[in-house]
Amino acid sequence: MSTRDDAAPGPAPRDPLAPDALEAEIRDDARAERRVAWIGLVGVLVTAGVLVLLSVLR
Amino acid sequence: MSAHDALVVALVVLVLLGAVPVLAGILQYALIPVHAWRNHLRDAAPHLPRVVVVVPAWNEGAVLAASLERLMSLQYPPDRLRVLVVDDASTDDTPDVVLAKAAQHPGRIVHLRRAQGGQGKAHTLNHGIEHALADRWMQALLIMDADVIYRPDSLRKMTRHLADERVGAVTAFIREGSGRPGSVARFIGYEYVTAQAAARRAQNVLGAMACLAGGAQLHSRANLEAIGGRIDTTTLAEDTYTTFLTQLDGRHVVFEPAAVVLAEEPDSVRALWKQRVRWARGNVQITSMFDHVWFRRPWPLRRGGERLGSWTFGLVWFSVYLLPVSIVAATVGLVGLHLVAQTTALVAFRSLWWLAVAAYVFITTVTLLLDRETARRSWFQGLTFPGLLALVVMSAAWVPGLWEETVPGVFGLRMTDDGRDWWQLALYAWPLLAMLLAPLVRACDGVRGLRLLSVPLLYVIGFGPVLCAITLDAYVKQWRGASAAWDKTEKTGRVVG
Repeated sequence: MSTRDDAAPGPAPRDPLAPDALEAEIRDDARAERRVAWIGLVGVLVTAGVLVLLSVLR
Repeated sequence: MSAHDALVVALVVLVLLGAVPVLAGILQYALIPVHAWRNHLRDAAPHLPRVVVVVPAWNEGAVLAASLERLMSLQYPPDRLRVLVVDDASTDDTPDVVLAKAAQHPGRIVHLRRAQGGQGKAHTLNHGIEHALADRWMQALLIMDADVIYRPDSLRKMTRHLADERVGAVTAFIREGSGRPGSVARFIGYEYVTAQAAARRAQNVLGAMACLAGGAQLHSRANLEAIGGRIDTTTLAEDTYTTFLTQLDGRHVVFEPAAVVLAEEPDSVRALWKQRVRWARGNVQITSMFDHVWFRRPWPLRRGGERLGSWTFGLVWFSVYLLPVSIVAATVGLVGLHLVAQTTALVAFRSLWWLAVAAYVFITTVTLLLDRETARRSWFQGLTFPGLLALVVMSAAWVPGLWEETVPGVFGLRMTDDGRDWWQLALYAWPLLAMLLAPLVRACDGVRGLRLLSVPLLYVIGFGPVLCAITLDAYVKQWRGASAAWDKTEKTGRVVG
């Protein structure tokens, strides 16, 4: 007997267009967008590091 | 003050003018982290309006089947999405491709054919927009290009912003998406991250958008009707014109970075030049048509658009628009100072290029981190964007004597005094020389025997200087009143999404 036939049905796939899924997507994207703050910080640190390194090498 | 001192001050001012675009670039990039909190997502809400997609098509048979199929498989309610393909009297198999797709998706894809074509994209779009507006079914209208591939979640990520009635239009991030990109397409891929993922985030923060991307313009019906129900046909930058009208009519324009659209971009310098001269001439027209907007905050009209007149937005716009002018100013300033006050020239040169080094490192780092997919494909083009020789100038500004003493010394050579003088002048004039040499890259691309040279030359001279030269060419063509006929960029269906 196939184990696949016996497998308990899992949760139905989430409809990405359901209102709650769309709400969650907006929240997730807002959270993901916060990474640009870190990117800015990394950019400043890398720039400062490169400038200091170049100054030392002069 | 003596005449000599006055001359030195005037020349220093010219050098400072050359620093303005660098400072504007740093300012834009400094605004990007603010987008973490200051974005429109907090006012967005689930919203799935009935959308009509207008696809202008002139001989797009090679690319339409894929883009239409991807539209049909968007994660968007099928009963809320219709596609109008406006066939601009194509002479290839475009009608057959569209009709075949229409038969596969009855009622969802419509083929509209113009009897007479070739008038340009705006005319083609207006044909479709008129058809869409005639039916009350349409609540929002998406303008796209025939070759672009929408990621499955992209449309719904755009429509959510229209839940806020203050928003008139939304645009997406157009990413260069060729399957096997060459050097030019890779440079464009990097440039698109700077011009869209980075600059449009900054413009979201400023509350003033320069341009809705031509391949991804979503308008609410209310906005489309308010701006006259049609696209302007008198400029070469109809998307920028529409963006300005929307904002001047009091509605916001939002950039949604999570909505990703893949596009095929030119992979030769000649094709790039043709496309960008059209864009740059469009910007010259827009700058003149909206001359009452710039630096006029508070905006004298009662209904919105005031952010377009802010100093910060004006600085961002004109730092790009007048880049060739500032390059000429800085070069004249430095070369002039070299002739009348050599020490001041050296200090000005080093200060200007130190600033350029800081901007280069900061902008390149942030750009590569903003879009990892593009960074994987185009990191080398990002590093060489200003040109290999510009990196030599940067190193000369940072390490005095490196190229005059240290490097020749390695080979047992010594630079003469005259040689040093010419070398110093070449360093001072490099930004202008690069801009003037850029047409060589295009010329090589057009000659069969020299075509192989064009790509190495592009890396040596730099993609940035090539774009400056194109802007300069656009000034000249506009000033001479050269023909402004619509000149379509050829697409071959290389996008892989």
